[in-house]
Amino acid sequence: MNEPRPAHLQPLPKMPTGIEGFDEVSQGGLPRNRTTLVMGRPGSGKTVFSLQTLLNAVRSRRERGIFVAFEESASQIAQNAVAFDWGLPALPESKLFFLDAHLSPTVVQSGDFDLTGMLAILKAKKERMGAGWIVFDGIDVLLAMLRDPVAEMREIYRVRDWLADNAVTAIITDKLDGRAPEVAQYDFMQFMVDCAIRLERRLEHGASVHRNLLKMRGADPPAPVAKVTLSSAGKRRNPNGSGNSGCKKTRKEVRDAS
Amino acid sequence: MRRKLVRDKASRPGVETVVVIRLYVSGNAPNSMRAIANLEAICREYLKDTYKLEIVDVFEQPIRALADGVLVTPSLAKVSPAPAASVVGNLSDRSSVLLALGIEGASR
Repeated sequence: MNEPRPAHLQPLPKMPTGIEGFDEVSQGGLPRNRTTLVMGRPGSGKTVFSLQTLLNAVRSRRERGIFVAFEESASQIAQNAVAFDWGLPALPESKLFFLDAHLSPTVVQSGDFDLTGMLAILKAKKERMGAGWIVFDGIDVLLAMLRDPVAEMREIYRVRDWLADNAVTAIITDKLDGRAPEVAQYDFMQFMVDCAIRLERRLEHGASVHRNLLKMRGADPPAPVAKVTLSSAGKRRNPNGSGNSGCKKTRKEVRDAS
Repeated sequence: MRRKLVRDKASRPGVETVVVIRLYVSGNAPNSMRAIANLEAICREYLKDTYKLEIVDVFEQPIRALADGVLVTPSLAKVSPAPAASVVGNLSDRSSVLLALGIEGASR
Protein backbone atom coordinates (compact mmCIF):
# COMPACT_ATOMS: atom_id res chain seq x y z
CA MET A 1 0.00 0.00 0.00
CA ASN A 2 2.85 2.37 0.77
CA GLU A 3 4.15 2.91 -2.70
CA PRO A 4 6.20 6.09 -2.94
CA ARG A 5 4.10 8.95 -4.18
CA PRO A 6 5.17 11.21 -7.01
CA ALA A 7 6.87 14.40 -5.81
CA HIS A 8 3.88 16.61 -6.53
CA LEU A 9 1.76 14.49 -4.25
CA GLN A 10 4.22 14.46 -1.39
CA PRO A 11 2.89 16.31 1.64
CA LEU A 12 4.37 19.79 1.84
CA PRO A 13 6.54 20.78 4.79
CA LYS A 14 4.33 22.37 7.42
CA MET A 15 4.37 25.30 9.78
CA PRO A 16 2.42 24.66 12.98
CA THR A 17 -0.45 27.01 13.74
CA GLY A 18 -0.19 26.23 17.44
CA ILE A 19 -3.95 25.78 17.37
CA GLU A 20 -4.50 22.58 19.17
CA GLY A 21 -6.47 20.04 17.20
CA PHE A 22 -5.88 21.82 13.94
CA ASP A 23 -2.24 20.85 13.71
CA GLU A 24 -3.14 17.19 14.24
CA VAL A 25 -5.82 17.16 11.62
CA SER A 26 -3.67 19.01 9.13
CA GLN A 27 -0.69 16.77 9.92
CA GLY A 28 1.49 19.60 11.09
CA GLY A 29 -0.17 22.88 10.25
CA LEU A 30 -0.11 25.08 7.19
CA PRO A 31 2.13 24.43 4.20
CA ARG A 32 5.41 26.25 4.62
CA ASN A 33 6.14 29.12 2.25
CA ARG A 34 2.83 28.50 0.55
CA THR A 35 -0.55 30.17 0.69
CA THR A 36 -3.54 29.01 2.68
CA LEU A 37 -7.01 30.29 1.94
CA VAL A 38 -9.30 30.64 4.95
CA MET A 39 -12.94 30.90 3.90
CA GLY A 40 -15.99 31.49 5.98
CA ARG A 41 -19.03 33.62 6.50
CA PRO A 42 -18.78 36.83 8.48
CA GLY A 43 -18.21 35.97 12.12
CA SER A 44 -16.92 32.48 11.39
CA GLY A 45 -13.54 33.26 12.90
CA LYS A 46 -11.30 33.90 9.88
CA THR A 47 -9.52 36.83 11.46
CA VAL A 48 -9.22 35.05 14.78
CA PHE A 49 -7.77 31.94 13.16
CA SER A 50 -5.22 33.98 11.21
CA LEU A 51 -4.22 36.22 14.05
CA GLN A 52 -3.91 33.34 16.48
CA THR A 53 -1.67 31.44 14.09
CA LEU A 54 0.53 34.50 13.68
CA LEU A 55 0.70 35.18 17.39
CA ASN A 56 1.60 31.59 18.17
CA ALA A 57 4.41 31.70 15.62
CA VAL A 58 5.74 34.97 17.03
CA ARG A 59 5.45 34.05 20.67
CA SER A 60 6.24 30.36 20.77
CA ARG A 61 8.77 30.10 18.00
CA ARG A 62 10.20 33.60 17.76
CA GLU A 63 9.12 33.96 14.18
CA ARG A 64 8.04 37.27 12.77
CA GLY A 65 4.93 38.18 10.89
CA ILE A 66 2.97 40.88 9.13
CA PHE A 67 -0.79 41.25 9.42
CA VAL A 68 -2.38 43.32 6.66
CA ALA A 69 -5.78 44.46 7.88
CA PHE A 70 -7.99 45.55 5.01
CA GLU A 71 -11.29 45.33 6.76
CA GLU A 72 -10.81 46.44 10.31
CA SER A 73 -8.35 48.95 11.59
CA ALA A 74 -5.39 47.56 13.47
CA SER A 75 -6.74 49.07 16.67
CA GLN A 76 -10.08 47.28 16.22
CA ILE A 77 -8.24 44.02 15.78
CA ALA A 78 -6.11 44.71 18.82
CA GLN A 79 -9.31 45.37 20.76
CA ASN A 80 -10.76 42.06 19.66
CA ALA A 81 -7.54 40.40 20.66
CA VAL A 82 -7.71 41.93 24.11
CA ALA A 83 -10.97 40.05 24.60
CA PHE A 84 -9.02 36.84 24.12
CA ASP A 85 -6.22 37.74 26.56
CA TRP A 86 -3.69 37.37 23.81
CA GLY A 87 -1.28 39.94 25.10
CA LEU A 88 -1.13 41.51 21.68
CA PRO A 89 -0.15 44.99 22.80
CA ALA A 90 2.94 43.59 24.48
CA LEU A 91 4.45 42.51 21.17
CA PRO A 92 6.87 44.94 19.56
CA GLU A 93 6.29 46.07 16.00
CA SER A 94 9.55 44.49 14.95
CA LYS A 95 8.04 41.07 15.61
CA LEU A 96 4.43 41.50 14.65
CA PHE A 97 3.65 44.34 12.31
CA PHE A 98 0.14 45.48 11.56
CA LEU A 99 -0.42 47.31 8.33
CA ASP A 100 -3.62 49.26 8.52
CA ALA A 101 -4.79 48.81 4.95
CA HIS A 102 -8.18 50.23 5.61
CA LEU A 103 -8.68 53.23 3.33
CA SER A 104 -10.07 56.16 5.20
CA PRO A 105 -13.56 57.19 4.04
CA THR A 106 -12.17 60.66 3.34
CA VAL A 107 -9.91 59.31 0.62
CA VAL A 108 -11.20 60.24 -2.81
CA GLN A 109 -10.98 57.75 -5.63
CA SER A 110 -10.24 58.78 -9.16
CA GLY A 111 -9.71 55.93 -11.59
CA ASP A 112 -8.00 52.59 -11.47
CA PHE A 113 -5.34 51.76 -8.90
CA ASP A 114 -3.28 48.69 -8.12
CA LEU A 115 -1.35 46.94 -5.39
CA THR A 116 2.13 47.26 -6.91
CA GLY A 117 3.07 49.96 -4.42
CA MET A 118 1.64 48.14 -1.41
CA LEU A 119 3.43 44.94 -2.36
CA ALA A 120 6.72 46.85 -2.73
CA ILE A 121 6.19 48.31 0.73
CA LEU A 122 5.39 44.88 2.17
CA LYS A 123 8.44 43.35 0.54
CA ALA A 124 10.70 46.01 2.06
CA LYS A 125 9.07 45.59 5.46
CA LYS A 126 9.23 41.81 5.28
CA GLU A 127 12.91 41.87 4.45
CA ARG A 128 13.69 44.42 7.12
CA MET A 129 11.87 42.39 9.79
CA GLY A 130 12.82 38.96 8.52
CA ALA A 131 9.14 38.05 8.53
CA GLY A 132 8.25 34.49 7.60
CA TRP A 133 4.47 34.97 7.84
CA ILE A 134 1.98 37.29 6.24
CA VAL A 135 -1.78 37.51 6.58
CA PHE A 136 -4.01 39.33 4.11
CA ASP A 137 -7.25 39.80 5.96
CA GLY A 138 -10.31 41.00 4.07
CA ILE A 139 -8.58 42.05 0.86
CA ASP A 140 -11.99 42.05 -0.88
CA VAL A 141 -12.85 45.27 0.97
CA LEU A 142 -10.09 47.18 -0.81
CA LEU A 143 -10.50 45.46 -4.15
CA ALA A 144 -14.23 46.16 -4.20
CA MET A 145 -13.28 49.81 -4.66
CA LEU A 146 -12.03 48.94 -8.11
CA ARG A 147 -15.64 48.26 -9.11
CA ASP A 148 -14.33 46.02 -11.86
CA PRO A 149 -14.21 42.23 -11.53
CA VAL A 150 -11.44 41.97 -14.12
CA ALA A 151 -9.27 44.46 -12.24
CA GLU A 152 -10.03 42.65 -8.98
CA MET A 153 -8.87 39.38 -10.46
CA ARG A 154 -5.77 41.07 -11.89
CA GLU A 155 -4.83 42.22 -8.38
CA ILE A 156 -5.49 38.79 -6.84
CA TYR A 157 -3.10 37.29 -9.38
CA ARG A 158 -0.62 40.01 -8.58
CA VAL A 159 -0.78 39.04 -4.90
CA ARG A 160 -0.40 35.38 -5.80
CA ASP A 161 2.72 36.09 -7.87
CA TRP A 162 4.14 38.24 -5.11
CA LEU A 163 3.60 35.44 -2.59
CA ALA A 164 5.26 32.92 -4.89
CA ASP A 165 8.30 35.21 -5.30
CA ASN A 166 8.65 36.04 -1.64
CA ALA A 167 9.04 32.71 0.17
CA VAL A 168 6.56 33.42 2.91
CA THR A 169 3.90 31.38 4.66
CA ALA A 170 0.70 33.22 3.89
CA ILE A 171 -2.93 33.24 4.91
CA ILE A 172 -5.57 34.97 2.82
CA THR A 173 -9.07 35.23 4.21
CA ASP A 174 -12.00 35.04 1.86
CA LYS A 175 -15.60 35.83 2.67
CA LEU A 176 -18.43 33.47 1.97
CA ASP A 177 -21.51 35.34 0.93
CA GLY A 178 -24.37 35.08 3.39
CA ARG A 179 -26.86 34.64 0.56
CA ALA A 180 -24.88 32.07 -1.39
CA PRO A 181 -22.82 30.43 1.33
CA GLU A 182 -21.27 27.89 -0.97
CA VAL A 183 -19.58 30.53 -3.07
CA ALA A 184 -16.61 32.44 -1.76
CA GLN A 185 -15.90 35.97 -2.90
CA TYR A 186 -12.81 34.83 -4.75
CA ASP A 187 -13.82 31.25 -5.31
CA PHE A 188 -11.23 30.74 -8.03
CA MET A 189 -8.50 31.23 -5.43
CA GLN A 190 -9.17 27.75 -4.12
CA PHE A 191 -7.44 26.43 -7.18
CA MET A 192 -4.33 28.53 -6.80
CA VAL A 193 -3.52 27.82 -3.18
CA ASP A 194 -2.03 24.77 -1.54
CA CYS A 195 -4.40 24.63 1.35
CA ALA A 196 -7.99 25.76 1.78
CA ILE A 197 -9.85 25.88 5.05
CA ARG A 198 -13.54 26.48 5.40
CA LEU A 199 -14.65 27.73 8.78
CA GLU A 200 -18.17 27.39 10.08
CA ARG A 201 -19.58 28.60 13.30
CA ARG A 202 -22.44 26.84 15.01
CA LEU A 203 -23.99 27.18 18.37
CA GLU A 204 -24.06 23.86 20.20
CA HIS A 205 -25.21 23.51 23.77
CA GLY A 206 -24.85 27.22 24.23
CA ALA A 207 -21.21 27.25 23.22
CA SER A 208 -19.88 28.59 19.99
CA VAL A 209 -18.35 25.66 18.17
CA HIS A 210 -16.20 26.12 15.12
CA ARG A 211 -15.75 23.45 12.54
CA ASN A 212 -13.27 23.52 9.80
CA LEU A 213 -12.98 21.60 6.62
CA LEU A 214 -9.58 21.24 5.16
CA LYS A 215 -8.32 20.62 1.68
CA MET A 216 -4.60 20.18 1.45
CA ARG A 217 -2.63 19.57 -1.70
CA GLY A 218 -0.66 16.36 -1.43
CA ALA A 219 -2.80 14.95 1.34
CA ASP A 220 -5.08 12.06 0.67
CA PRO A 221 -7.74 11.52 1.57
CA PRO A 222 -8.75 15.10 2.31
CA ALA A 223 -8.44 15.82 5.98
CA PRO A 224 -11.63 15.33 7.94
CA VAL A 225 -13.87 17.99 9.31
CA ALA A 226 -12.53 19.06 12.64
CA LYS A 227 -14.34 20.82 15.39
CA VAL A 228 -12.49 23.60 17.02
CA THR A 229 -13.56 25.78 19.87
CA LEU A 230 -12.48 29.32 20.33
CA SER A 231 -11.01 29.87 23.71
CA SER A 232 -8.81 32.44 25.27
CA ALA A 233 -5.93 30.39 23.99
CA GLY A 234 -7.27 30.51 20.48
CA LYS A 235 -8.88 27.65 18.69
CA ARG A 236 -8.85 24.15 19.94
CA ARG A 237 -10.43 21.07 18.65
CA ASN A 238 -13.52 20.21 20.61
CA PRO A 239 -11.76 19.19 23.79
CA ASN A 240 -13.56 16.07 24.95
CA GLY A 241 -12.15 16.08 28.43
CA SER A 242 -8.61 16.37 27.21
CA GLY A 243 -6.04 17.63 29.66
CA ASN A 244 -4.15 19.62 27.13
CA SER A 245 -0.91 21.35 27.88
CA GLY A 246 -0.71 25.01 28.59
CA CYS A 247 -4.03 25.94 27.05
CA LYS A 248 -6.20 28.19 29.09
CA LYS A 249 -9.57 26.59 29.39
CA THR A 250 -11.78 29.58 29.85
CA ARG A 251 -13.92 29.91 26.80
CA LYS A 252 -14.98 33.34 25.82
CA GLU A 253 -17.78 34.55 23.73
CA VAL A 254 -16.59 34.88 20.18
CA ARG A 255 -16.48 38.43 19.02
CA ASP A 256 -17.12 39.25 15.45
CA ALA A 257 -13.52 39.34 14.57
CA SER A 258 -13.64 37.85 11.14
CA MET B 1 10.26 82.98 -2.90
CA ARG B 2 6.95 81.43 -3.79
CA ARG B 3 7.14 79.40 -0.62
CA LYS B 4 6.26 82.48 1.37
CA LEU B 5 2.96 82.62 -0.37
CA VAL B 6 2.00 79.31 1.23
CA ARG B 7 1.83 81.00 4.58
CA ASP B 8 -0.01 84.00 3.24
CA LYS B 9 -3.56 83.14 4.23
CA ALA B 10 -4.95 86.28 2.64
CA SER B 11 -4.08 85.19 -0.83
CA ARG B 12 -6.91 83.63 -2.76
CA PRO B 13 -6.68 79.89 -3.25
CA GLY B 14 -6.05 78.79 -6.77
CA VAL B 15 -4.61 82.14 -7.72
CA GLU B 16 -1.41 82.75 -5.85
CA THR B 17 -1.28 80.15 -3.13
CA VAL B 18 1.26 77.50 -3.94
CA VAL B 19 -0.34 74.09 -3.85
CA VAL B 20 2.07 71.49 -2.56
CA ILE B 21 1.25 68.02 -3.79
CA ARG B 22 2.95 64.66 -3.70
CA LEU B 23 2.27 61.81 -6.07
CA TYR B 24 3.23 58.27 -5.08
CA VAL B 25 3.85 55.98 -8.02
CA SER B 26 5.31 52.51 -8.47
CA GLY B 27 8.00 52.53 -11.13
CA ASN B 28 6.46 52.64 -14.56
CA ALA B 29 3.35 50.62 -13.76
CA PRO B 30 0.65 51.61 -16.27
CA ASN B 31 -1.61 53.23 -13.68
CA SER B 32 1.31 55.21 -12.31
CA MET B 33 2.35 56.49 -15.74
CA ARG B 34 -1.23 57.51 -16.42
CA ALA B 35 -1.46 59.31 -13.10
CA ILE B 36 1.65 61.36 -13.85
CA ALA B 37 0.28 62.37 -17.25
CA ASN B 38 -3.16 63.17 -15.87
CA LEU B 39 -1.75 65.19 -13.00
CA GLU B 40 0.65 67.15 -15.16
CA ALA B 41 -2.21 68.08 -17.47
CA ILE B 42 -4.33 69.24 -14.54
CA CYS B 43 -1.45 71.27 -13.11
CA ARG B 44 -0.68 72.91 -16.46
CA GLU B 45 -4.26 73.86 -17.00
CA TYR B 46 -5.35 74.94 -13.55
CA LEU B 47 -2.31 75.72 -11.45
CA LYS B 48 0.09 77.16 -13.99
CA ASP B 49 3.27 77.62 -11.96
CA THR B 50 1.65 77.98 -8.56
CA TYR B 51 2.24 74.41 -7.53
CA LYS B 52 5.01 72.27 -6.19
CA LEU B 53 4.86 68.62 -7.17
CA GLU B 54 7.01 65.89 -5.73
CA ILE B 55 6.85 62.45 -7.30
CA VAL B 56 7.81 59.62 -4.97
CA ASP B 57 8.58 56.23 -6.47
CA VAL B 58 7.46 53.64 -3.93
CA PHE B 59 9.77 51.07 -5.51
CA GLU B 60 12.71 53.29 -4.57
CA GLN B 61 11.45 54.57 -1.24
CA PRO B 62 9.14 51.89 0.18
CA ILE B 63 9.86 52.62 3.82
CA ARG B 64 9.19 56.30 3.37
CA ALA B 65 5.95 55.48 1.57
CA LEU B 66 4.95 53.27 4.47
CA ALA B 67 5.69 56.06 6.94
CA ASP B 68 3.67 58.45 4.79
CA GLY B 69 0.69 56.11 4.98
CA VAL B 70 0.62 55.13 1.32
CA LEU B 71 -1.47 52.02 0.68
CA VAL B 72 -2.18 51.71 -2.99
CA THR B 73 -0.56 53.30 -5.99
CA PRO B 74 -0.89 55.65 -7.64
CA SER B 75 -1.99 57.99 -4.90
CA LEU B 76 -1.90 61.71 -4.57
CA ALA B 77 -1.51 63.70 -1.37
CA LYS B 78 -2.31 67.37 -1.10
CA VAL B 79 0.12 68.55 1.52
CA SER B 80 -0.85 72.22 1.65
CA PRO B 81 -2.72 74.48 1.85
CA ALA B 82 -5.08 72.95 4.42
CA PRO B 83 -7.21 70.91 4.39
CA ALA B 84 -4.97 67.99 3.51
CA ALA B 85 -6.55 65.58 1.07
CA SER B 86 -5.70 62.34 -0.62
CA VAL B 87 -6.79 60.77 -3.85
CA VAL B 88 -6.14 57.22 -4.96
CA GLY B 89 -6.19 56.06 -8.56
CA ASN B 90 -4.75 57.09 -11.90
CA LEU B 91 -6.52 60.48 -11.62
CA SER B 92 -8.59 59.88 -14.73
CA ASP B 93 -11.64 61.40 -13.09
CA ARG B 94 -10.54 64.99 -13.27
CA SER B 95 -13.43 66.60 -11.41
CA SER B 96 -12.80 64.59 -8.25
CA VAL B 97 -9.11 65.53 -8.37
CA LEU B 98 -9.94 69.22 -8.72
CA LEU B 99 -12.38 68.99 -5.87
CA ALA B 100 -9.83 67.27 -3.63
CA LEU B 101 -7.21 69.86 -4.51
CA GLY B 102 -9.65 72.65 -3.79
CA ILE B 103 -9.18 74.18 -7.20
CA GLU B 104 -11.67 76.80 -8.26
CA GLY B 105 -13.54 76.06 -11.42
CA ALA B 106 -13.90 72.43 -10.45
CA SER B 107 -17.36 72.47 -11.96
CA ARG B 108 -16.01 73.11 -15.45
